[in-house]
Amino acid sequence: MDGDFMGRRWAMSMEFRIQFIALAAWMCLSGCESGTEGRAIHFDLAIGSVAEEGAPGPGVFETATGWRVVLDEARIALGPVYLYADSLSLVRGLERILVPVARAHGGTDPYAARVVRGEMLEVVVLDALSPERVIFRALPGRAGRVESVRVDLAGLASDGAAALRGHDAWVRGIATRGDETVSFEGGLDIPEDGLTANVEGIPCDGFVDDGTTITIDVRLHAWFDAADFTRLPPANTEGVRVISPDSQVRNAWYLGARSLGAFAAALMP
Amino acid sequence: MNNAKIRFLMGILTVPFWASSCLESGGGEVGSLRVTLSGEQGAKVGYPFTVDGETIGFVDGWSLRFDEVVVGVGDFRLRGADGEEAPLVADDVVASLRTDDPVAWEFEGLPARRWDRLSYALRVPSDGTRNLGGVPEATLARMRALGAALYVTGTATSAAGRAVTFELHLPDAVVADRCESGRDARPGVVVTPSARTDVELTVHLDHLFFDSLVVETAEMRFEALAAVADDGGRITLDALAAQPLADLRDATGAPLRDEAGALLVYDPGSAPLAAPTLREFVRASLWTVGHLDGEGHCEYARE
Repeated sequence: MDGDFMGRRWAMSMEFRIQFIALAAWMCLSGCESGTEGRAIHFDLAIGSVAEEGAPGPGVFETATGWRVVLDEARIALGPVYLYADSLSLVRGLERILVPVARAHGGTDPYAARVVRGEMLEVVVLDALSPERVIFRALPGRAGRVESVRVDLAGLASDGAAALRGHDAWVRGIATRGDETVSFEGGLDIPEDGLTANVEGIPCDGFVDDGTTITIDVRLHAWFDAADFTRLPPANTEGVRVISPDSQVRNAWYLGARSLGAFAAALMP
Repeated sequence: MNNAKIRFLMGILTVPFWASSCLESGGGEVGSLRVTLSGEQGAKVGYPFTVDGETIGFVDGWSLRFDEVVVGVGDFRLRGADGEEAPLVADDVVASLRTDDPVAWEFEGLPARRWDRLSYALRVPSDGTRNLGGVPEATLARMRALGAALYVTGTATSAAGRAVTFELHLPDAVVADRCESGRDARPGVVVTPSARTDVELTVHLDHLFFDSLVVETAEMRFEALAAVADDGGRITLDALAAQPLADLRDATGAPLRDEAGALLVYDPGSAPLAAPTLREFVRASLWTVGHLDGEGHCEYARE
């Protein structure tokens, strides 16, 4: 700052400065955002999948239960997506989840006033083995810090639903462990009950502005990390063991696909 | 625009700010506030129990009685939406909720007004924590050793008559902030002029046994916990780490099934568990046991 400016600044009367501060405080209390935050912007959203470190692709991974899995098909319906200004800290995030759970809580949502920086309201069927991300361009939003992302599952897709064979997600692949080899396939149905289909609190720390690209990648290893493929029903006539709704593999998939470990989000200026 | 005009404009614009501040000042009247702690009916009689015609209990046939329900509480604070902080000092206390709803603090001479932001912490009792009475020194020592802000022991019995004992605890200090009152669903508390206002910091023990963190129809279950009892029939929080959420087993090692015969799965949704085990699920459930005036909920953060 040059000296002339500083001189003019300090020449402001005390009364004027007090009134200026009071005005600023009033504006803040009135909900106005300061600086560049809140300015209308357009951003891009790219949804895809990411391979684990050292893996040849996103559909190849090893599970905590000792299986090496190679997926030939992996699709899931994703969306809407919301970008939140707050981090939804771990415990606070859980309370959001718990509110409708505890008896007589009344369903009040203390986070209804959370600041949403941007959103993508469509449902997309993601081919999670495709090397290309699905990109939504020029989505409207508001400039500012983004600290967490929410991805909804179990939505009705307008395009590509047939690839899911009537489910919310679909896989086909081969799992091997020692001498055991299991060819499997099946669909996952996620009930829309309470917050069952909402993946809340995906970490994403950055500033969204005009031209920012937000990437959301599915991490397929989380889907079957706790699965034991020997507990699938016997193979059908084609030698494939189907992931039945009442199977341990389905439950592992159900928990894993909705866990925070199943997603990675980042902002790229 | 010259300086005189700017000052005039600033003066006009700031009128609402100053006026609203004056309206919230409360006129200098004062009242008192009494804060009690409660574990509700569940702490006193266990599960199941019936209230208002509704039975609160386990769907898998278990019943349960607590021997000890002890909680450490501190950092009780009241703040107004305008940022004013109530002039009170609340020391850390530890209390048994097994038989009584003890008084933790009584504050006199508080400005009479709505205190929108009420917060408190569930804390591990330290040497300096005030014992409200009834908490044995051995229990306090055990809580300190475990790092427990909430500590419960008791006996559970299955429908077939199998009895197990349990010692469970909240291994984290948690702040319950911006609590809403269960009486009127409004934030905080109104201190009434020239009168005593009562608030209750309520501990919801049923959270310990929920099978879902994401649906309104969460059920209370005990079979998955009972399955990890040691040879002496004793269950601890750490023992629950042996139960993977995706592969819950009964005491014989067979997959656990629900009342409809389907494989049982506890559902944490996207809650950030440290590990996908029953230990971490129960721990996460315990983060939100602190409420206000019965059913009023709060925002929670680890202290």
